[in-house]
Amino acid sequence: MNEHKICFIICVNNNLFFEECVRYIHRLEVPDGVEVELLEIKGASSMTGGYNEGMHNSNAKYKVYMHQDAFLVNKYFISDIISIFQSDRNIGMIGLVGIQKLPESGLMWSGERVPGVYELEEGWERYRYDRKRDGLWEVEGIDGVLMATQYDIPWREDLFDGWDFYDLSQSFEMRKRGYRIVVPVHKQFWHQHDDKPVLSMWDYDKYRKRFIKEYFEK
Amino acid sequence: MDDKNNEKLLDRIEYYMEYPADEEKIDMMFSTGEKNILRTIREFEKIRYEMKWKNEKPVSKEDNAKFIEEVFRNKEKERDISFQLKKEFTDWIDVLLEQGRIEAWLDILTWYRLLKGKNLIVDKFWEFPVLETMLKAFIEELKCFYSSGSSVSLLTVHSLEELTDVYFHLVFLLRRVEYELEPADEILDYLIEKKISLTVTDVVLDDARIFDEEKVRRTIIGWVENGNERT
Repeated sequence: MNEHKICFIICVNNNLFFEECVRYIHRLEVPDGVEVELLEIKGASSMTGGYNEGMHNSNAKYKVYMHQDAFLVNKYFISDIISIFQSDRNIGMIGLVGIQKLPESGLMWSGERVPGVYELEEGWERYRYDRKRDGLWEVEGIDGVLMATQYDIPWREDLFDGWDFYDLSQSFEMRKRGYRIVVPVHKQFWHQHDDKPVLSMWDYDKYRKRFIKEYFEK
Repeated sequence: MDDKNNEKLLDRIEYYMEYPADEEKIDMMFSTGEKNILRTIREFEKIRYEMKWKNEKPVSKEDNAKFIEEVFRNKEKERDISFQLKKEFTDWIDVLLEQGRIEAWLDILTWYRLLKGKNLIVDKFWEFPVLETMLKAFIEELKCFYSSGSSVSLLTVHSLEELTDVYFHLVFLLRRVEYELEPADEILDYLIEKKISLTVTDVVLDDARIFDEEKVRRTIIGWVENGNERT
């Protein structure tokens, strides 16, 4: 495992979004001595399958699994998350949106999500994050828009073979192994996410029930 | 065909809602694409009626679990017909956009409002919030057309795919202005190339996830004014 390498792993089915996403990744400030890798996963049959493929194809210690329609606007993102991981080896995963206590229903939006809404501050300084000053939220699960890890844990494509609940599943898999899941307390959203306000969720319930059976009933 | 053109779409739809069994007249009033949409709407509404949504707030944990189960069960019942209606509507949108006429856009607006009013599909598929924004943009351009004779630039868009493409291109370019990603002024070249008006850009800016709208607006206006001064 290369401790000086970070890999962005993205499942892609829309080149317009992906190219824009990559534009922001290329804009990130890269700390000295850190290598950045980007893996585009095309034709994945599920998010877990795509992420497992990416995970096995990179020797980067730090991996960032993210949506193609998420844009990293915090240009210090790489140094921020590496500093969080290095501050505590028990932190297994970092997200940008999380849930502190997941309800028994498994519905993420029913619980209290972090972060809330911030007031706009001027300039790039609004993104400066300081681990000691700003802190971390401890969460039970994080949203799949962006999930950064410092340990490779297999994604449960045996159970979550679609596009839902892969995020909560992986969060619980990390916690089962004793790792912490955190969201940095950030002053301004570190990302923009162009998901539209739609609630399709066609297969959502099938995976919700699997999640409950696997993680709440066992 | 003359019957269809002579009556506004809204009037025809109202007639259909009141006299759905008048097949002979309906056949004359609507094209096949339109009839498909209307029939699927009726089918959808029948399914909803049979599901008999209970609007009771759950009071206990057990009630909450049952409520969630019912929500998802009902959602499953609506799946196939939702996809069917989506296909019929988006296919018809493509037919209308191909025409490149103001009247066609007004028809799209009527259909969209009908579906939204009935709470059907527009919150289920990502294309529709985008369509809603672009319809707002069309209305603004139409106002300018009537007040000053300026062209309706959206008439140059000929499919829903192209429309969503324009929308996201604009959002991305506007966001680059906000976050100062170079070349930030690429948006001006895009607007010229695609012949999209600043009116459309303004509406997209309002609706999109751009935090500092004022900064973006100020910047673009500044570029445009500098460009005008140079010429």
